[in-house]
Amino acid sequence: MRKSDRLLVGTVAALAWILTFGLSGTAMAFHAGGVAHCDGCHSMHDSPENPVEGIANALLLKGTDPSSTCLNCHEGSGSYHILSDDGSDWSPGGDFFWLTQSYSNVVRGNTNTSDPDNMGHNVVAFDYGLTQDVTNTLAPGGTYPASSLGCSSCHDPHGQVNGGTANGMDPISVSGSYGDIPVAGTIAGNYRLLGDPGYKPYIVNPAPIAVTSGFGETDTSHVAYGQGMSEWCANCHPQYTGSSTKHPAANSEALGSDKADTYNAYVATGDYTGGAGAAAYTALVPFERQETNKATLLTAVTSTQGPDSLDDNVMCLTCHRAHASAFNNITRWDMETAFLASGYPSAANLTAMGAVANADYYGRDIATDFGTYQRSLCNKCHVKD
Amino acid sequence: MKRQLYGILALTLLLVPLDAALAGVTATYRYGLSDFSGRVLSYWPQLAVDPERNEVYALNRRGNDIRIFDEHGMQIYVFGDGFASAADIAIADDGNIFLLSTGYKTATIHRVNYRGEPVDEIPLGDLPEAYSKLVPDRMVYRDGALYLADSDERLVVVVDERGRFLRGYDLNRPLRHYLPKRNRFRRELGTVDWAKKRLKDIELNGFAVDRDGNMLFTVPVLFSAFRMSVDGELTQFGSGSGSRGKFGVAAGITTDDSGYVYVADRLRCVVMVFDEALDYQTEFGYRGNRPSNLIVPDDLAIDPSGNLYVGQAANRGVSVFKVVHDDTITSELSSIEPEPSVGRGQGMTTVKRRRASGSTKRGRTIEEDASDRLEVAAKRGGRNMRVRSEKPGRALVEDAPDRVEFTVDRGGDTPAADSGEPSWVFEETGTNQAEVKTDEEE
Repeated sequence: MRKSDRLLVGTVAALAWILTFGLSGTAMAFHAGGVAHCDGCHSMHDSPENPVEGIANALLLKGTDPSSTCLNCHEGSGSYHILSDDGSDWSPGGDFFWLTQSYSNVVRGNTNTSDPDNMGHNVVAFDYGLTQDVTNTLAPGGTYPASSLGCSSCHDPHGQVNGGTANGMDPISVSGSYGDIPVAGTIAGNYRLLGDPGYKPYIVNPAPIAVTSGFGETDTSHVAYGQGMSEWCANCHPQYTGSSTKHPAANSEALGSDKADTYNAYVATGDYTGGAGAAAYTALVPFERQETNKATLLTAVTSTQGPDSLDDNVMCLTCHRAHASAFNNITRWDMETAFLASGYPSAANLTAMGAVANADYYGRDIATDFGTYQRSLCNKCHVKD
Repeated sequence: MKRQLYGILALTLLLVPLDAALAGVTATYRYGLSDFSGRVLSYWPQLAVDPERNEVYALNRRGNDIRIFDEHGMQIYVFGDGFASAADIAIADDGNIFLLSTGYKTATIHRVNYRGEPVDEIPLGDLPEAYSKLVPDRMVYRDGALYLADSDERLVVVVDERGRFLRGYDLNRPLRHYLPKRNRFRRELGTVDWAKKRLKDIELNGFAVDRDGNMLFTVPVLFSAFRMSVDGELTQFGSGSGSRGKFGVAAGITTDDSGYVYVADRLRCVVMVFDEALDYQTEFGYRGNRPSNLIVPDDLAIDPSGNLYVGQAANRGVSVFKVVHDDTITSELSSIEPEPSVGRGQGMTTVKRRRASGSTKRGRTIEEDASDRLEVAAKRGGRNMRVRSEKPGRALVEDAPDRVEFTVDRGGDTPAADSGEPSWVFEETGTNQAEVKTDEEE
């Protein structure tokens, strides 16, 4: 066999190996921390197999708009989905289902009808029936136009870190969401592909540091927030941080011994026996642990330990969700009722909306878990009940 | 070297159009399901057909209603109160409706009549321990049994109409073989069971049961569809890509009585057709605004006449396509006597002979569209059956256990090919008897 033939055989064998084994692990890792294969989302040539005929868009997307393109994969229930038919996507960000539903109740003789626009970030996804917020035309506390709001307002679908290759960045080898360790000469992506200053002009603060072990959220399996979440939210809501007239939420806003001790001791209304807080953590009131090492942070994804009094801090997501929730202002619990168990949406409201039972609290029965007379979870830090 | 390259190029060019040439199935857009105001708009309704009454049911989960359409695609009834949490729908042989409602770790099945009035609840209390986690969110009714699938736990149980357990399938074990390998860069996560964690992300999407009781389902994250036989043998088909015949996001799945399998692809906005051997045949739809285009198709259902119902997003409701298997006659009739062709009817396959004999699989349609008289003799189990008509028509042999021998004998003068005269439909009932219906009688 000539040398050139051996080279050819070797090359073919290597290619075969790569095609057979090298790509076999990619089936479930579409983004893999960075930019996926282009034709997952784009139709490059309006080809017969993937036409955009009749729905021309400059981005050549396989959806009427960017968010519709995302939802082609992410609509559904459970796991990596974020828009269900029944409110069962109990991810940390929340279920956009709540933007599609409204409910009414008679309170003191008045009929109150919920406004679905107030239940989440109103991403525009025509194919999926998600429309612009008609109340807030600009981001509250900022100037980002509601008409432009979509998944890609926050998530960089290409997953670049600090401008990516063109900005001299190393290759992304692993997801940035699960604490994976990149091999030498490579980097991890951003947490949940959140955009950073290299992505859009309005993003001036870096993507937050956080890790998780999956998609759900329970007290024993949850996101471990490191730092930077509030600052990142402030990219669009700058007036909501750093003001003496606003509730604090920032890396610098440590809970301190006062609030940390309260969080740890507080179990429920009428139960202040949590002690040092080994089982104090509740996913309904998360906090940042001021940890930047993702490997260290990874150990906290199953931790039930409450905050320390050194630097753990309150953040936007302590009270709010990022996508949507069952409550006004995308809060994690009903902030407009004295007793959570009798708040809204009621069990009857949930049934009428086609939501699974207790979908508003991620399957928790508040009366069972906290008590019939549990008051606002603001008390987790403030214990005014 | 150049010659070798040319050879490879020529081979490639030969292979590229092969799938189109092999396609024995055509699908023609007919209409969208409508009421007297026009097309009924909805997002991704769950669909079920009632073959006995030629009706199709659409469960509109976002609108919390159930709409019934006749064989012409016109809405004839709508109801919804009390079934907001319904996740899937199936139609019993007697016309009653099964509604599967899911809750947090619970599921209930209600049987209601066609007016939506409750009949009873199907209890699911006595499942074996292995299926105690089952919270079904997919449901299919077939041959007196309800197939209930839990897409998150990858469990399936089959119960009778009283909810009594018949058999179950744990898909986790066979699906483990199809898991992608663990990312070699991924850091170990302490005690986390990676195989279990990866399985967790493998949710089922579409779910169907074929005429023989085999289950069909899609798994989007594996870019694949699967067929599981009654005895638990799993067969994977399809693969991921953006090109023709490949899966982007595999979604709804259904099958007809000829064994063809239809799979909706949300991302590529097509419905793909696979034959009984699970070989890709053709696809249709594609993203766009024309009536025949599809926007994010999802659930599918097909009736015995070959009307394929496709639920889709973008508030486009349900599109209906007429599916015709071009190989119905040509691949099955091997002993046709050479007689003059009498033409082809409206996109349908035609027996182009005065006399024909042969055999066909059950469910296949034998069409006669241009003759004064048609005679069909079917033979099964040593018994002869004979059906006569006085008009041009077609013979529909269905619900037979296996192959059926038949003879077509067209008498009288042969009219023009496109006479447009009404068709006859012959249906073998499966009891060695045969019924004859005209279109007017259906």
